[in-house]
Amino acid sequence: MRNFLKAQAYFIKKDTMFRGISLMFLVASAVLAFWVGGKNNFEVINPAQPLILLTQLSLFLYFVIPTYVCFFATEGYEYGSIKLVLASGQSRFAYITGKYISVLNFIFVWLIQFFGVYYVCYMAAALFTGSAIGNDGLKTDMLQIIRVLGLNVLYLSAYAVLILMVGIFIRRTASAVVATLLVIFGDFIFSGYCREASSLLLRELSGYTLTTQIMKFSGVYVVNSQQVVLSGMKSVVEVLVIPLVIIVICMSITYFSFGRRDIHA
Amino acid sequence: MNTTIFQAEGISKHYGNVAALEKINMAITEGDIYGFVGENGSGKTTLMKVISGLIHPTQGSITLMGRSKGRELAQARKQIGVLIEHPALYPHMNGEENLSFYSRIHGLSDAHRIEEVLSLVGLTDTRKKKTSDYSLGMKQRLGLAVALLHSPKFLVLDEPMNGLDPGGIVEMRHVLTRLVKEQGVTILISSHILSELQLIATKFGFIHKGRLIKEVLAEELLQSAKTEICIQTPETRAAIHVLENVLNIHSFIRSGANEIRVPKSAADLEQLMTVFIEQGMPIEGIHLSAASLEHYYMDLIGG
Repeated sequence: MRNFLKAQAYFIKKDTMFRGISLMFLVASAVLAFWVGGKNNFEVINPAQPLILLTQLSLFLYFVIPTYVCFFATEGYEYGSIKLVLASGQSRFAYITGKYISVLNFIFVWLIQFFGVYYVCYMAAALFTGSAIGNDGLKTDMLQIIRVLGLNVLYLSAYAVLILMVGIFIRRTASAVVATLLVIFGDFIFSGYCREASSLLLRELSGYTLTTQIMKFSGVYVVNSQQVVLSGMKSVVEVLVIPLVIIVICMSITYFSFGRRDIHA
Repeated sequence: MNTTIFQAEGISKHYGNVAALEKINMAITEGDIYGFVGENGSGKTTLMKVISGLIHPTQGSITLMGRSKGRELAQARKQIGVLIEHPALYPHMNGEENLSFYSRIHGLSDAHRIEEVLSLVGLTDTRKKKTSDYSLGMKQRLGLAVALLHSPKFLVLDEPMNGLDPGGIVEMRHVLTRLVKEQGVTILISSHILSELQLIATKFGFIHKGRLIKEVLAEELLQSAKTEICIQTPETRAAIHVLENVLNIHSFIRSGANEIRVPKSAADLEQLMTVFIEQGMPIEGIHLSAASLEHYYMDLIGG
């Protein structure tokens, strides 16, 4: 497993798509820092406040990261390396687990990069423009940021395992990417369009989609012109349980089906 | 006594009602170069995938280096090198980087080994070139380098000569025979270039429609009834007349304008020469020709 993880890290390091997305995140976070900061003259109420503004835009990550996960999940089939990895004595369980751990690694790296570059650029611009840096409500904002970052990691992990399952099932990268986009936009549309549907069932389902939960904890979920945020034990439990259930179910299905499947790469 | 490196016992693989493999029993002993012969879709690649753990057999079991169960079998697979179908290479990496990736899979940290295998397959000069720019032959060679990276005891090679130019084929033959002689590697190899396979293999297995129909040692093949007497004469019609009417031989093949091939089982070389001289036939040449694997195979499957 350790050898496989090292090889995966090497693959990611050399992958042009990974490099391209990293560059895109770098540019996007820098542009966002100047765009968001420029709107309020790089005002800093407290050192954590610039990040609060960015957490509301974190939905952007959910369109890019799962798409890369799809490429990463199917690369073994695409290039045939899965044949040599399994023939080298790696178990199928280790293959899937190794893939997932590698995915978690780059999710973590990209989150740090996205929020880190944004923060550095924002604070540098604030210092450069001579904006005052206050300290009001620092503790509350810090807690909010930790909560949102933690939940982003959890939700990206849930999305990743869902896409990993789709990729391993479909095997062909092109078809898997189409399926991934269907999953992402399907969840997004379900969350948005069915939110105010006349059918009670659709409204209920809309309330439990991943996108709905992400929008809730990011503070951008609005129903009937009312902002809905996480409040009360029930919504906190919901926001934690939904991704965990998805991780457990999708991972079990992936282990089971991949373990029994013949490999034709 | 040589140890058995690989053994298949009653291996079957069915896809619905279609049998890709049907009760295959075979054994490969240490130091063998086992030539696997069969038409496309006969089950060669399927069996190689079973050995590599890519396909679960419907029935039967395999033993690799004396290990046949779960984790032990997985451990044994660490000692095999495979090149199945097309080489598994990353096009955005160069040759050396591809080997670096696979060396990590095998837990190797010795960069010297990468140099060694690159030199062995003759790709040292092009190691910095992206594999997307490699020719098919170069990809095959790099695929072989990947298979050799961890110094395996058993090599499973599926059509490794595909795409190689004549020089590359000869080089590949030398590399494989050297591996067997110098490092005691055992090889299971399939190829449609039967003449080439005949030059290196020590044992042949013929597979047809998922069944292993015959196994034969290289020496047995040479001594088999398939050895022929080749007669070169400008008077082929007269020679045929002599064969049919004087010697009562009817199982010959006219293989060219001036050549007739007679199975060794049907006639004796000396007797043929004597009769032809007595009949005043102008003979340009007469010699024994070793059995061709191609003919042997075609006879076997009734082609």
